[in-house]
Amino acid sequence: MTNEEILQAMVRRATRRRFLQRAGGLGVGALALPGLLAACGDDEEGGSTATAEKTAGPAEVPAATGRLDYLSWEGYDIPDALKAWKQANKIDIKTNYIANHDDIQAKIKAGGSAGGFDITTYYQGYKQLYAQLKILKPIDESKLPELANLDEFWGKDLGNFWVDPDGTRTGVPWTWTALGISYDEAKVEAPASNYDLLDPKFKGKVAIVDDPTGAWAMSTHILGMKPDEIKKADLAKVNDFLSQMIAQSSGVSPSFGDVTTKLTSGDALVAWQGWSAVNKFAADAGTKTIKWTLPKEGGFTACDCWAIASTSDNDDAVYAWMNETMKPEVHAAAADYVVGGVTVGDAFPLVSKDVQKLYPRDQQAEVLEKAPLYNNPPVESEEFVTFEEVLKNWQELKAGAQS
Amino acid sequence: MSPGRFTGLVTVAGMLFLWLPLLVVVLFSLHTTASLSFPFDGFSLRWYERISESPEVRAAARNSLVVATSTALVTLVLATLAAYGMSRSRSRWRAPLSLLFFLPITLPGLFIGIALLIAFSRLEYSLSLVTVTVAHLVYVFPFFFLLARAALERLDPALEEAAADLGATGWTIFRRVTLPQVWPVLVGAACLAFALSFDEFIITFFVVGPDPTLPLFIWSSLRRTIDPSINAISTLLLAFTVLLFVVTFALTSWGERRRRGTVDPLVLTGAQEPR
Amino acid sequence: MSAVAEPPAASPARAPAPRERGLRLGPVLLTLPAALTLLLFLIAPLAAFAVYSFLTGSLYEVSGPLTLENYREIAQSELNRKLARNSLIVGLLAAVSSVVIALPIAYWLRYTTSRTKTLVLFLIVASFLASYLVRIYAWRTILGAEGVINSGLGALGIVDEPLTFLVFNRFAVTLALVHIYLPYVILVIYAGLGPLQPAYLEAAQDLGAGWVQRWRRVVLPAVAAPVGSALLFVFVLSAADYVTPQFLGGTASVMIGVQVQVAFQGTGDYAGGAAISFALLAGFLVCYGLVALGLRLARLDRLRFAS
Repeated sequence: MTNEEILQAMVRRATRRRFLQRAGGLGVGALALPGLLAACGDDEEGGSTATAEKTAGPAEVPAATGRLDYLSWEGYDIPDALKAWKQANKIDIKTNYIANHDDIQAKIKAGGSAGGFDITTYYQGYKQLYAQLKILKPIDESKLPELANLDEFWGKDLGNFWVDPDGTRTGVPWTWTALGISYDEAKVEAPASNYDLLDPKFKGKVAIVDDPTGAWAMSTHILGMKPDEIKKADLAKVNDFLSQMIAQSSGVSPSFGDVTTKLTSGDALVAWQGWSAVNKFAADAGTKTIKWTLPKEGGFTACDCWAIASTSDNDDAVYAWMNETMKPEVHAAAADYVVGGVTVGDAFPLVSKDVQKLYPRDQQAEVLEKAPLYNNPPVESEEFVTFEEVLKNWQELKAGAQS
Repeated sequence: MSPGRFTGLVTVAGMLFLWLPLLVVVLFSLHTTASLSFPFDGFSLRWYERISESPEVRAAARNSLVVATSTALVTLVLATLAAYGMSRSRSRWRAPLSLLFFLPITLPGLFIGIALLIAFSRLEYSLSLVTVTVAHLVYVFPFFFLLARAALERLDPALEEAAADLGATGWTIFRRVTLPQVWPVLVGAACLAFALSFDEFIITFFVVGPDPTLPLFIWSSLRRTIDPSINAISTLLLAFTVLLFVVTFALTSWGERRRRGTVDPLVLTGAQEPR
Repeated sequence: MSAVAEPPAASPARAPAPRERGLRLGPVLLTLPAALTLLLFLIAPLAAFAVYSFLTGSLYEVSGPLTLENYREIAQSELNRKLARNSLIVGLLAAVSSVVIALPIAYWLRYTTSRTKTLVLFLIVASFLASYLVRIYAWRTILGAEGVINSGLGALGIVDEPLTFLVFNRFAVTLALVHIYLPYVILVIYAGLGPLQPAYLEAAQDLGAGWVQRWRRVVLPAVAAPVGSALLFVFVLSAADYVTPQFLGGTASVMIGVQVQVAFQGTGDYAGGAAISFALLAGFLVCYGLVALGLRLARLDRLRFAS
């Protein structure tokens, strides 16, 4: 038995309060110790009478083990950062990588794996749709002690992306990135405005990723509007801009990997809806001159959060996963791996210099103002352009079927 | 009738055309950097190291192996029986059955994949390697069936009739007379079934569960960043399936030679249509 | 397994022996497992799929009374017309190109006495085995701005600027599709030439036919059926392909298959997706019918040679 376990056993015998269970690794033990000591202190004050309904003690992470079915992007399963945790808890991750965001709801609705998908993520804009499709389980905050690590902004959730107005939590934001413009600094100067990309010199040299909701958010923002409140009559205006931008491309890329390749192979000079992680991908591919900028009109921010799928049969493991990734060291390692911004303030100093430069903490508020967090278009609406209409519209734009 | 120079030239050009992209794949699998375009920066085995160390790649490869083997075996049994039955029968069911057996080839993978996805989701049967195998089975069946039937129809019925005269019943006839003659084609067809299943992507895309096959893995790894590890995987895959075919060819031509004293490539590949 | 001695067949070669008559039902039973499997896992799902096309779909569910609304929407959609046209063109181009390239190669394979025949066969079959996705990417490496062709031309000083018209257009998509299906077409035509003995061609030559005549009057009729089926095969699979255009096509080469994928994985409109799929299928069936009819009318569907 380790010291922690002895202490736990002693205190458990003294009171009926439960303590932070060992979720593996010394790190947790170190964090548990202050909690244990505090509990010991409380215990001496309160005497040995057990209080029935009080839950003032530290939140408890359920014991996690077994099979965890993961449904999300490749990379978000941060294999290295979680390796120790997985081994210590004998967790077997079954990964199911998605090709685009809509795979998530498609797969969960289609019934999914033998165990049912357990952990998933969602981009904040999809909250409304997923709530309607009922594919998210409410998250019990008492099982997430590390939730407190979220910094002020990400913990507040003014947009009700992760916490409903009634207080039900459905997501834990864990990585974010602002979309702007990527460019090859060896070949062009940083575009100051999105409209610069419509210049003839960029004809056929603009890479655009195939993300209908992203393109919609970005274009509506540039036009000074909000993506979830576009009147049906204004659709033509948005399409006008989008079709011009697409005409500047050599075809919409199916993935960011493809965008990276176009940039590194010289098939594109800039990328609209640029993602700063591409800088790192390109550098790995030998092209160190791909940079990112947020032009004067701004862009939009995408934040992915952990969520429990409605088909989950191993909630405990999901809670343990979420908790683990909220710990500063793990969080920092994850941010390095996926090249994203941190939502846990204490993790920032632990992040590598390159990624720090891409997401400077002191500029976080500024960036989030120029590139806000948006909702997706509404699922149903008489007045505004709906999500389905945006998707169908995007197919037409991609095929150049609109002038 | 010797073919002229023109067709010879086209053949050479054709082979270059077929193999240039594959050689590019192999070349870039040895690239030092992650770039997939020129200039070529130098040779390195790092991508092979990377994939051999990756548990995800190994798992995906294992899954593909399991699915492809199961597909090949089940198809072998079902399609051989079906082909034998069809070739030895004069029932009027032959025409519609032929159509049924031929149907999957005529349908793009998209349809088969989605139709099965709908069926499984309606039945609330969860997606897994089993559903993938079923899908592959459907897809691969016509290929095997056509090859098997062609081979079976080409056989001289007199041998089987003679066996029957001597008192053998169905299964014995099949085992002692038919099978020894057609086994090279069946093995080759099973090999083909295996290879087709291994590389199948579009149908698998719709019916796969949490365990990806290798092509699915390649597809999802193309999402974030495209680096030569996919080239490395593909090169190994190509080497593996080519080796498989070479071994099969060698085995079956050895078998043919032992039995007949000669090797007829047309027979081995089962490429001849029934006369 | 005990065998009862049966009377030897007393009938001449034409009439079926008593045993054979009995065998007629037996063998068909052997097809039962396969038939049941396909009925269960192909026909039934396709039927369900067809029913979906007459329902109303939204958000990954289907519901409601039977309706023709999905089909009506498809017929009226200008986007679908454009995509279908793209798919048709690419399909036809790919099919015709593969056959045109494959014919000389198959001819060479069939009639050559060279020892490299086995090597060539091996190369063809082996290229068949390469991974589909990676091949598409390889074409990017070849045709791209810093790819094989452009680097080569640049190094030789033939061009100053890289050629941009090689990739992200219909040409690249067709090229990649031909590359994928060519091995199959070669093998199918090669097999079709099997019954055509060299002696017939020599006889034709002796009678004074030049190579054009030999091809037109002897070779092509012999391979009409395999060529027809290869054309169909490549056409259908190329027209329905939606992955290749995503990587190699530009905005003008988006193809209709993507609409099905979007319906099933993007908008969750299963009914609409089903309707598009079946509309496509109907189109393909029409093509099959036309080709089969054409071959039958020209009496090319079954060629017999005295052996």
